[in-house]
Amino acid sequence: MGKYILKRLLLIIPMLIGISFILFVVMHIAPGDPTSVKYGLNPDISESARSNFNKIYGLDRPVLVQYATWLRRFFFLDFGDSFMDGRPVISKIMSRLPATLLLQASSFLVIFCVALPIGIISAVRRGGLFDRTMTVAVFIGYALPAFWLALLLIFFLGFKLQLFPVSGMVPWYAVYIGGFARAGDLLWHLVLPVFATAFGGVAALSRYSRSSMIEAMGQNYVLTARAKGLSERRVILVHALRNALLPIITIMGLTLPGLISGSFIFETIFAWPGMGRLGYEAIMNYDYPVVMGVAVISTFLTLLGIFLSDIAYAAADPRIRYETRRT
Amino acid sequence: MDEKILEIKDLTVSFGENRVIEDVSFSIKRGEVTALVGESGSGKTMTALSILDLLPDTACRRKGEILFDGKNIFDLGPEELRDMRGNAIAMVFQEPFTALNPVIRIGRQIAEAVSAHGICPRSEVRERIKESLSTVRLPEETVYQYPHELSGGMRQRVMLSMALSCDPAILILDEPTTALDVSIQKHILDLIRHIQKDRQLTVLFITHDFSVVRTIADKVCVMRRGRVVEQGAKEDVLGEPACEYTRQLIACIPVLGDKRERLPVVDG
Repeated sequence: MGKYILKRLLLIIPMLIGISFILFVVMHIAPGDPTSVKYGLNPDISESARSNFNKIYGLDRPVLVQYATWLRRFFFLDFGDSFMDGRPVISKIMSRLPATLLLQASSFLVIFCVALPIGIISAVRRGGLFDRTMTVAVFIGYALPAFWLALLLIFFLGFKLQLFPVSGMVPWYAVYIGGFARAGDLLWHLVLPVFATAFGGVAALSRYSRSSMIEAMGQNYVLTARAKGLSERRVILVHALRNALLPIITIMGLTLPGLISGSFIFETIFAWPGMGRLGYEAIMNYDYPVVMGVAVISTFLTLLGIFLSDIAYAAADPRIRYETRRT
Repeated sequence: MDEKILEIKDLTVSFGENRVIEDVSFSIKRGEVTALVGESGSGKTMTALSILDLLPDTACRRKGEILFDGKNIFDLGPEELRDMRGNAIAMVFQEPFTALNPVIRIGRQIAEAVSAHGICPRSEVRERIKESLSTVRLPEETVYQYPHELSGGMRQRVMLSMALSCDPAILILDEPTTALDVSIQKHILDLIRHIQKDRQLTVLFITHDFSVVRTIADKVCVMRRGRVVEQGAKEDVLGEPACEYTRQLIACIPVLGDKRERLPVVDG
């Protein structure tokens, strides 16, 4: 098992390099460049100022050479300085990362804790009122564009009913209130962004867990468990669920990329001071070092998530365990 | 030893309009091995599942009753029914490869059966599992293993030990050797026969194989298309089958040195 984990961890490095190369090239192929944004709108900027800027940041050299330079610094976790304000990219990202992780982790938790019970109950009471209601709700959830839902939430719950704050994470008054009140305020600010980001995930995962549970409940070992005289609760929560969870673990790992790419949209909509919004602003400004930094960190988080779900799968399914057994 | 422990009366079960069991009646006496014989689809397994009231949701019981110790099991409440399953009437299924839960250790799966009925104090559960494993001649270490680490024959032994762990009054064996290869079949069959003799177990043995019937059964019950077409003592049924269908089935047993190129076709 230890060897397997190490191997999988080391595999992340070449994957990260490969992905970063593609990102770098795509970013440079995309039309426009930093100087067109920074100086293009100002007619007083001369051609020489532009070429001077390109020279300072090495943008006049071939893309491959630029990538090599970027990669060399990347190995020392140096992502360079932002074009916009000259601050180191790594410190910009680090100041934004906690907000993003908080939002992602909350969404992830909500997806798991809401979707799984929905799936289980729907599977057990298949065809019942709850199941049918949820089927309709889930397909509506699937069909709704999440960013539109986010805007609706802001309009109705935030603006019309004034139940939740419409944007931001930590308001100006936070410094004046105590620790618990501040935490409560943070949770209160989390409600709408988490609702919007988790909605699609809940819809998808509840469907997966429903079908996974239905499949598990039709297996022979469930009949065996019943024939042993176990309570229905035990049959469902131990025998069926433990097997139904296996595919769900993989699917949970696969929802991570969606959450991370979604953060670009939702952090912008909710003015959430996270990495996604930083990345969005950087893309709009052709701030190459920041774009690369955010993209690489997002890639790393995604790969890490998939790695963790693989480990969890191996831990949950004895058939693919790599350790030597105790006998 | 002439006491009826289980009596099935006029049992009729259908899937929609399709009647898979029709007016089935037979009884099982204490300490006897009753063989339920028939081709695939003749309703043997559905009859067995009815005894545990574990028919699939889509099945519908039209009429009939099953008396266990004089009480109709269809009148039992859910909790009484749960306590009956595994404890009073235990069942071993045909497919040992899928009948055990792949993610739970063997020891735990047997322990569940024992502790579900509170038949012995928690501290003695371990001892009881060891005992039931040794009855089926499996090593003690099997408790730490997962089903995928065991062969088909070993898994069927586990199923058997699980069924025996609660000392059931009736043991239902649903084609326990069909999924195994021939050399293992004989071992398992010998084991079952040995345990049956040893404990004077009451067994309902479901099979399609008359050669197995010959070695193990006291009484035979032949089913065809959901109906019991013939029943009686083994000697009578095998010696002088009254029903044409039974005769055809018996004619299908290949004998060593058999020169026939084709076995007779049974009109199922």
